Amino acid sequence: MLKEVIRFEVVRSLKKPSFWVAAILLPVLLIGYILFAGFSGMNAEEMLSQNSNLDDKQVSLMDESKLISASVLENVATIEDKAQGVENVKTGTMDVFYFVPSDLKQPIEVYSRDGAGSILTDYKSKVDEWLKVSVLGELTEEQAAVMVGSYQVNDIKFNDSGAESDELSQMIAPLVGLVVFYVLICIFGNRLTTSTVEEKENRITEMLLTSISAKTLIIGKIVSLILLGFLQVMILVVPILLIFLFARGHSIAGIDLSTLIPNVELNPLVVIVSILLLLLSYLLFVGLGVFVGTLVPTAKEASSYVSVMMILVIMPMFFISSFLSTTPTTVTYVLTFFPTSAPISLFLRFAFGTLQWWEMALGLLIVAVFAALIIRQAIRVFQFGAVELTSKINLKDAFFRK
Amino acid sequence: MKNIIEAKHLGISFGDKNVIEDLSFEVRKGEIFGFLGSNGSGKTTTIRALLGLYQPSRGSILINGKIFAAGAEPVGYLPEERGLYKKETVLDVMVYFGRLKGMDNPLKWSLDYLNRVGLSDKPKERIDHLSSGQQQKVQLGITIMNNPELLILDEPTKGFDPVNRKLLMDIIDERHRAGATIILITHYMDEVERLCDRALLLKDGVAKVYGTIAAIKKQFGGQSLDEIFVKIYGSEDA
Repeated sequence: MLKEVIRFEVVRSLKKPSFWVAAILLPVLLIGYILFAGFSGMNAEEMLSQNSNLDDKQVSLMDESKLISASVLENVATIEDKAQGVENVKTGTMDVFYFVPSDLKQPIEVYSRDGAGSILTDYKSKVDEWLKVSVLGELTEEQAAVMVGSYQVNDIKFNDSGAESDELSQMIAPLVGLVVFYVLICIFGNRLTTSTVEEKENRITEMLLTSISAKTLIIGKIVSLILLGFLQVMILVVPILLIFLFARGHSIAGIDLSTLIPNVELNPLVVIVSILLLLLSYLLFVGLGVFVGTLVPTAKEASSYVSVMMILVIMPMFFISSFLSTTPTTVTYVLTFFPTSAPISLFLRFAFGTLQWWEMALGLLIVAVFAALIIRQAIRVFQFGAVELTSKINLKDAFFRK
Repeated sequence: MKNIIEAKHLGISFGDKNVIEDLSFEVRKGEIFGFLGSNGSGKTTTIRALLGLYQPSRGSILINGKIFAAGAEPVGYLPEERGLYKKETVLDVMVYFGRLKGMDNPLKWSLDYLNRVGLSDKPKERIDHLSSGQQQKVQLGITIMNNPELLILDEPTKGFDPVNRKLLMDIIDERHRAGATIILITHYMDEVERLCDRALLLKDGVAKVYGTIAAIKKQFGGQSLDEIFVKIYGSEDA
């Protein structure tokens, strides 16, 4: 029976074009976004540099502070009278006039004309650059390096067994787990509830429950959603693995692609714990979705519940700064051990290395127990709510009805 | 003759409202049992209690001496609320239910049935592309799949034209002759008189008439079931 439910649910999902659109589109959009963000980041500095480029502008300067070096002043017209400098800009003789006061507690004044550049032209950063170059020019090479931070630090840490620890390799598995979990909840959030509410919406529960038990039906749906989730993960991960495999030993335009892949060795224990956390987290999420589906008569009415459910699950993202702290805060602890927010909290803290082993064990236990309880409750509510075809089941009845 | 269903002092309440009160009856193996009453009299509630969809507040209702367990008892139920997986094809839905009911070859059985009820060109059609009458035929097919020992049919011919009504009655009669027990819930008293061995008439959750069709008619001076129905509902409502 269970096998038949799973087969029916999986096959009909795979036959729907909407499944494949969601399954393929989201990873494509995700990869596209990452590439776009990277490209934008690469261009940002270039754009800023263009915005502060005054090569084609008539620029004048009056420096009462005497901080700007002679080498800088060689390339700029200097003026001794502030009022004249301002007047030059007003009449169009000059595009920009900078006035640096003797006391830098007073503001530096920048005068420019409308139309001298685009609205994004950054005149202010130029004087900032002149002052820094001038002051750094007075320092030794080492002092200047300290001031601009242009020195290297090799941060070597040792783990409890005295071996050198590789933080990047520790982070990769939990972060990949977090991304996969996030993709799954984005794609399957609504599908979970619609899958359960469909029988009620189609007035088919009574016929079904004379052939199979509510338990078999709900577990069949949950297993099918896990299988579909696994397929989704494969669609996401397999192309990335293929790219990695292709990159080894190949080169494009003379660049050895294998040099672009970070050389990390994954810790098997971290990988196993991450996979276990992903499985339990997804099970909990599926259980929540199915439970919501048992409460409502139509998919439309489920949407408001789904929104609440999603917020409860992604709650840690709203407190991301707390997770970046090396010392966990009260908020971090609460979110780590609150069942619905535990999955993302555990992934984040595991990745950032702020999670003790006992916290992970307790977190996994909470997620597993809550998943089991919510699935058990979903089965119960589906059984007694099977003939509630037009009205919602309230949460009091869902948990306390005998 | 052994009983397949036994209800003893059954009571069902929702909050303060008693929907079924102290209802006791039996359905004997192999008979066609008419379960009658106007809308809201408690027929569907009783059937839902029989199938474990409602918990009795008092008393009991058992199938073969046990509380119903899905899959364990071979029951076919055509409920009052009609529906199927609308986006799936006729054959996919029938084969799915056939497998759930433990059939060895649901595909062949489904094609034969569709052929018999005039839907031989519809196996690959989506359910929501069928007319309501065609959907009802598919539902009846699902209900009688795998020869259930007990068939519960709630308004099986509602909305059918006379030709299709006769076709479905023939199918029901055939199942009966093959040994199935049938509970027929209907407002067509002529169907009850023609098909049923015994009947129970429910009003406000209370059994008003119960026995063989001949005994019921004799009790009311040889009146037809239609006249008896009107008398029971009319006299107390007046």
